[in-house]
Amino acid sequence: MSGRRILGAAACSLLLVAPALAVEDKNCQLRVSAIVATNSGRPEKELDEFHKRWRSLFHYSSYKLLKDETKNVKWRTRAGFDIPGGRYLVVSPRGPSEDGKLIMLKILVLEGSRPLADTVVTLKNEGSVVVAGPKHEEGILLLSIGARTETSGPWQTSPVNFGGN
Amino acid sequence: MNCREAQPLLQLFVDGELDARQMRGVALHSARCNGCEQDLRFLESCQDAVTEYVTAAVEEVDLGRVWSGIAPRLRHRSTPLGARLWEWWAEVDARSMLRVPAYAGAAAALVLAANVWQGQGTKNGDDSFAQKPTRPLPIRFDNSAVVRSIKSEAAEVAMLREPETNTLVLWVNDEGANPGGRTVGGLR
Repeated sequence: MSGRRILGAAACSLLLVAPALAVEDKNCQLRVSAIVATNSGRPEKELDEFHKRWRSLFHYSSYKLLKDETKNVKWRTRAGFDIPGGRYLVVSPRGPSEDGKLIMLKILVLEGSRPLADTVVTLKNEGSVVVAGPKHEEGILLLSIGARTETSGPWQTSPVNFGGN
Repeated sequence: MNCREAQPLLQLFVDGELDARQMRGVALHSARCNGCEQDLRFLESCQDAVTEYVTAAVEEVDLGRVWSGIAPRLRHRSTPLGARLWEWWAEVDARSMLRVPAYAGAAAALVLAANVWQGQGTKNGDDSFAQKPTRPLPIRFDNSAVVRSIKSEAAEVAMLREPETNTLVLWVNDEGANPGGRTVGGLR
């Protein structure tokens, strides 16, 4: 009888843990986009939507996509991204939540010898955060850092249209 | 960078105390070297455990006395006229049955206004508003995120939210610049 109970308990715990294991089984897909915002030049047509969306927050007239890079990494490892202006970004996906809906990321933005931002954030699967402010040419850099559990489909969100349609 | 060079830097890497060149070197090396990667993971798990322990200990601190110390001082602060009037109204409102006719009156006024407006539209032959199928609003992904911790050597760090999708923006202000090159007014 006790053997059955143990077996039952093991089966139950497996059922509880299985979804988390399934999510952990996949890699994490990171997407980093660098956009420079300036007050000179005309805005790129592709970034029109971005401009409209973000003008409530930033008073720049022109946005230019400098980089859009995707990397697949294992959970609890890290990926490095070269950022325009000689900066470096290290992103480490700590892990997904049990239901796979949230992702915890450690983000380190380095400028010269200093960490400009060293942060741990929890975002939604396929969500993104923006690190903004580092000076670049005559404007500032906006770094969009997104993460999702690895899938083959296209991203619902894009650097020019955070939040999707 | 090889293992001999990377090993002494691993703890400093986890603590974020290396310069950019070394950070990059360790990150690149650990991506290729399984041994150093394992060591890094161990150090990070140690750091997580310490952070969790400290957070739990801080949460156990009884902050009940803090509020009892602050509350009496708050009572001495002057309240703006608008807030006082609102408080007075809330008091009257709570004591009397006045709110029932007041709210009923407001609702009646709203219904009347809606009727008049609709009636005018029909009279002019413009009933397109009523017949036009409502266009579905675009569904935006709620892109909200939570900051667990943040450290920075920038002069200022601010957290902003893009209002439409709740996208979190960590603003690192290093040279006195603000969005749009303006002063704080540039930030909304």
